[in-house]
Amino acid sequence: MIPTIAAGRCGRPWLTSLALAFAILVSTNPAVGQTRAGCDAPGTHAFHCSVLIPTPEAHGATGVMRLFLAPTPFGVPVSEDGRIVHIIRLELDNLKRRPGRHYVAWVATPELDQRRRLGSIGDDLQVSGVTDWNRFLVVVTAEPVGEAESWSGPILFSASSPSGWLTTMAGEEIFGNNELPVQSQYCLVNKC
Amino acid sequence: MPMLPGLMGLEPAVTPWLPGSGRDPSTLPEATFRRVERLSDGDTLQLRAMLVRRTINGRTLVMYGYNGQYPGPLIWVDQGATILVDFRNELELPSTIHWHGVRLDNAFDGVPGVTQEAVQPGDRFLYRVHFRDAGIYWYHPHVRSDIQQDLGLYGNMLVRDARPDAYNPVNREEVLALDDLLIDERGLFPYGAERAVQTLMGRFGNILLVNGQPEYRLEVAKGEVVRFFLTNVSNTRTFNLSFGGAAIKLVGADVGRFEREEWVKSVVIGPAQRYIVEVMFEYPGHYALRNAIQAIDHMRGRFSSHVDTLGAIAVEGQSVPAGSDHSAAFGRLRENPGVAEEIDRYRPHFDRPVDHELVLSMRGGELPATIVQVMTLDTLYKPPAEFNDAMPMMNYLSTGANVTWILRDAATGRENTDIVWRFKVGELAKIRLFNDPKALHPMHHPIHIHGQRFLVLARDGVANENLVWKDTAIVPVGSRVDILLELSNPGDWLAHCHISEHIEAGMKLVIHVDPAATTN
Repeated sequence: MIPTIAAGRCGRPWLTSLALAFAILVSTNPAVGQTRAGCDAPGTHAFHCSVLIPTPEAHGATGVMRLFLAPTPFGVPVSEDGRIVHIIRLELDNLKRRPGRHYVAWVATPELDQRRRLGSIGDDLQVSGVTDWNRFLVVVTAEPVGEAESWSGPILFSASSPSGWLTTMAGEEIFGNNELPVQSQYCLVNKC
Repeated sequence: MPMLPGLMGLEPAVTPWLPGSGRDPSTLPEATFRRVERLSDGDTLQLRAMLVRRTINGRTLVMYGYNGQYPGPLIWVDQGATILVDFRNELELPSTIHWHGVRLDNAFDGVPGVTQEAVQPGDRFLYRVHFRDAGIYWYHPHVRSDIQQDLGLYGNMLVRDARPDAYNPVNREEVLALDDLLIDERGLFPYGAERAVQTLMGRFGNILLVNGQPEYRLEVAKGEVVRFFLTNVSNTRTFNLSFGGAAIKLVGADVGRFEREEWVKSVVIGPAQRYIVEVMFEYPGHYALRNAIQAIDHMRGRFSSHVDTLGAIAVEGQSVPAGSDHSAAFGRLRENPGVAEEIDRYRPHFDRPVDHELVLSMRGGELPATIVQVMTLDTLYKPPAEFNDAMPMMNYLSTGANVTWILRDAATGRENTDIVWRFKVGELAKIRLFNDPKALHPMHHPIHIHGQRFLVLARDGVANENLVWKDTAIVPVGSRVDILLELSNPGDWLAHCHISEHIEAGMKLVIHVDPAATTN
């Protein structure tokens, strides 16, 4: 389902808009080598930010995942079938370049049955891409070639979309208890 | 409606209310499809808000209608015209008419307690409506709109641009009002008599309507290009509309045309918003008018694809005559230099500091503890927008008494109608709308400002590259939307969330615009 950046007959306005958005997003980033701000930094304007979870392969590197809403004339960017279209931006720090290792970012379904390349981590230690999956994981791997089209190397970082927090509550205790505490009894017309 | 264990059998703290006070529907006139009222400058339209009988999906219902029509009459006027509307309230409730998006004189804006007193049952009010801007607009009550608008009190105004080439050549034009209605096996689902219910998320219907009908039908010839004027008149539903795979060209929005036309796959339209699109039907067959969303079920923690078919466009095998073939014009995306040039005057103000910031939030302090617990859990994930009633059980039990939706002035901490913003005609104000994701139940809000127009400059720091004048803008959860408001019209003007139940739960403020200083 991704990317859904082609629209209508030619799709170019979407591409242009996304390119502009990328350019603006990138231009707000610190220079290479500068310590990046974390999720608490003011002025980043992402509607969601979370810390990338490192593995030992990251060797002390850190990073964040910022989510932005894709450009749209409608206020809320959704695909034709109603999925929210996100721009994902990964910002890494202190990631050391090593010979034969190319860092590539991927987006995958939580079941890992679908994986798509988000892009290579550039010299500025960041990468951006688009997805319209409802739930997704973002993974950074070390690949033998930078143009890798499939994910084969060790994982350095991962993060989950905020929709990953959407969990079933059907089995929660508070829903199985018919004897609600007094303060929970709803004072209702004709029933108080 | 499913209910949580322990909350079974509970009802919202209101007296259930249905229109007609128990009247036999057969004693009411059957509503008829809307008529077009072509009015000239100085004309007067008689408009009655009245009880009608509707039959929808086999159920006979007591509903409301303007002049006994569904939707209300389509008012067709030229830009620059002024008409009089002699409004008679034949409902059992007080009412008014708000002329949504029209920059008219403040006295006729139709807001009870701000611009006029509510028109009591049996009383009349004479509105003078001046159409300064071309485009598609709509009218609706501003008294208990959660009830009156939902029951059918809405109609469109199509204001023709004076320039014949303002729009592309098309084979026909269609004005569509998108709506929904909540009914069960007994008929209309009751409203709250004392106050609005379903104030958490608004009243989502379970039957989707186009121009008041559950199955929209249109027959066109092969190759026809149709210009659709779309208005979302629903209480709370945001639609994601597509035309069975037909190419869609986005042309205009609330108050006119975009700087540049663009192709879109679907049209996302929030309550009260309007979009103008052109659609070409190239091949014979049926094109389904669809609303496709990803429904969220907070209880079960899942997304599900959900598609409603609102109707169909049947395309005949016979092509449009050669002289009426507009496919070439349709294939081109037009720039509108006139629109861009007019906006050029405002561009020097785009980067100015924010003058005012409004924080969009809510308080649910009066909600029962169990519901607060549930909401705390199920809003760990805060979607930028919700296209379905993701929490029907809690929504059902929420009212205007236990939920307060908030517009908070970030500078003063004042909320809703306690906010005092005063401007002068001719001023511009850069306003940031921040939808606080830390609210108990954040939700996207379509924010409407009466009597003025604005540009959406940026969202989350990313500039909007294709501008159009607006009167209603969606603010997604967690987002910052910067608008440039042009104060062009003196008076006291309401600004509010256009989810009907949210305005009934407090989400509104009044903007004071003083006349420009005069020089002797």
